[in-house]
Amino acid sequence: MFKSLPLLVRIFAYILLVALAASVVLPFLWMISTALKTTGEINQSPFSLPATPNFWVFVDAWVQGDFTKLYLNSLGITVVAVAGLLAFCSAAGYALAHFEFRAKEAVFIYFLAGMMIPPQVIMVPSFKLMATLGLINTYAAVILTYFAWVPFAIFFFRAYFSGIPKELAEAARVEGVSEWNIFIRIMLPLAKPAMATVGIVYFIWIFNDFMWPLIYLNDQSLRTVTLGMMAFQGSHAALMNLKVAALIIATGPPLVIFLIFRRQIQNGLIEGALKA
Amino acid sequence: MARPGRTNFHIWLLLPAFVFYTVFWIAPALIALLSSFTQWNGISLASIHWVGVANYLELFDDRWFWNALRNNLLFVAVVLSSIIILGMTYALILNAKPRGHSVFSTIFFIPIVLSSVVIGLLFTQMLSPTVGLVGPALAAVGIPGVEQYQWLGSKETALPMVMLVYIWRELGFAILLLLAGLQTIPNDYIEAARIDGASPWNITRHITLPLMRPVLTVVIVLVTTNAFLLFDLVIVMTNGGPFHGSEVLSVFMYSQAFLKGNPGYGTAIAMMLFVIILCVSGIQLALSGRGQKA
Repeated sequence: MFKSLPLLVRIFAYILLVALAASVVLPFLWMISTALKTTGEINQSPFSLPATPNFWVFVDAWVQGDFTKLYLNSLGITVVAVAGLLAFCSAAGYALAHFEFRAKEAVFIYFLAGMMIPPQVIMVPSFKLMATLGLINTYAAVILTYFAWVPFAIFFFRAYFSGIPKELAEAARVEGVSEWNIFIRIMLPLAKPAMATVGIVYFIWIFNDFMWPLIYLNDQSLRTVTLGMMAFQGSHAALMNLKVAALIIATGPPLVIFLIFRRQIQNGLIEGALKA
Repeated sequence: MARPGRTNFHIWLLLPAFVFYTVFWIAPALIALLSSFTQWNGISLASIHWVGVANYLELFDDRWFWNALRNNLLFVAVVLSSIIILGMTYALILNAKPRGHSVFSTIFFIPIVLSSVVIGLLFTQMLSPTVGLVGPALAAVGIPGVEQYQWLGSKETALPMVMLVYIWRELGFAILLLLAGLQTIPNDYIEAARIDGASPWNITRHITLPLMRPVLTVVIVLVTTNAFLLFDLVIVMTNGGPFHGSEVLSVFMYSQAFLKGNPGYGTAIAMMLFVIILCVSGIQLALSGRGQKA
């Protein structure tokens, strides 16, 4: 199809493709080259390559930025929040898809309404609420707020479970399987693809979130990767090569994970955005 | 239908999600609405008093509110038009499957998984005078006097720089969704048109774009909503400065509520943001409704 286009159009298309690709790749090359240089070299020219690459800079940046703690904090919060959300929202989505009860439509609309309420709107009262509960500077504050982030997940699980025939559960009921076991042993295993999609989308959202940690977690020892990065880049004590090495440490793992799970992440984001 | 022991099971399934959602999302939203009509020092509950629409009147009189709204609208207009035009162009190119298209798309999608904080910090370093990349690079190609230029510290360029970085970050996501939309268009339509002698431009104009309308609507609404809620990048790159030059509504609200100690006033700003988001969603519903009938 591309070959049928006029030559000029094809050349122009390639110029555009290369330009955008360069805008993504160049910052990474600049980061690697800058991190490996000495401060003197950095001040001389941004284009020169490091004379003797100093790979220890990554170790220094990791230690100075306390990245072990930052990654453990971020991963801990994200894993707990995503696991909780998957549990509650798969249950709620299943209930809304397979059970008949009064005000079912109203409950569903109530859950969807939250999509119209962005986090910014509830930022101030949420802070007050957590302060009243004495949860400021605890992981509980962040995790509880993420637990409330249900609309998209419920919408997605409801749509997914609607595609599973009700006869399946009916047959199990006739066999005398308890409702609980129907949900845990029959429905949840069938919902694995939906779990993966919702899990990926939420994992990226929560791991990269900045606003809630910013207002809830002031204590240095509780910092997430995003908060810690901001503090580290703002500190005057750290040298330029260390700051840039820290940026590589923060971009590296998500990048590797993206390259490994590219298909799943892409499909998750596409389904997530276009279905909702 | 109802069997013994089954009738209440759905309540247990719904309960956890319902409780967390109600207590930590809906209740704060209602409190936000109420507290936008009050004034308090944000510390003791005894200091709360009802002030009616005073916060809103003050807001409409506050030149920094209008400044933030103006910046926000400008930001949305520039970012939305750029992302849609560029996104559609790149999606069309990639959909034609030029050589190397999968490598290009992998590269384009990288920014999606990076946090906007890290991206903001990266570009802040690249834009820093002398030691960064941008100033010296422009100087090297012969533009004089830019090596020392404070891209983020000057009123003329702070917001445009945030716009550029935002476009860089969101473009991959837009391309991803638009490309997915293009791939759902049946090839038969395009083949048939081509056999009838339609030019690539006419196929795009009369077949592809009309069929892309639902996806395009979703992308436009997503980009618009997210751009109105811009927060992370500004906090990281400019903190709203210099002298309110890049302050948008969320950042204005954050500084009023958390740094200047006016939570009531802050929630009034939040409510304005909420009304804007509601309008955007309303327009989407109207558009997609019309699309279905057509």
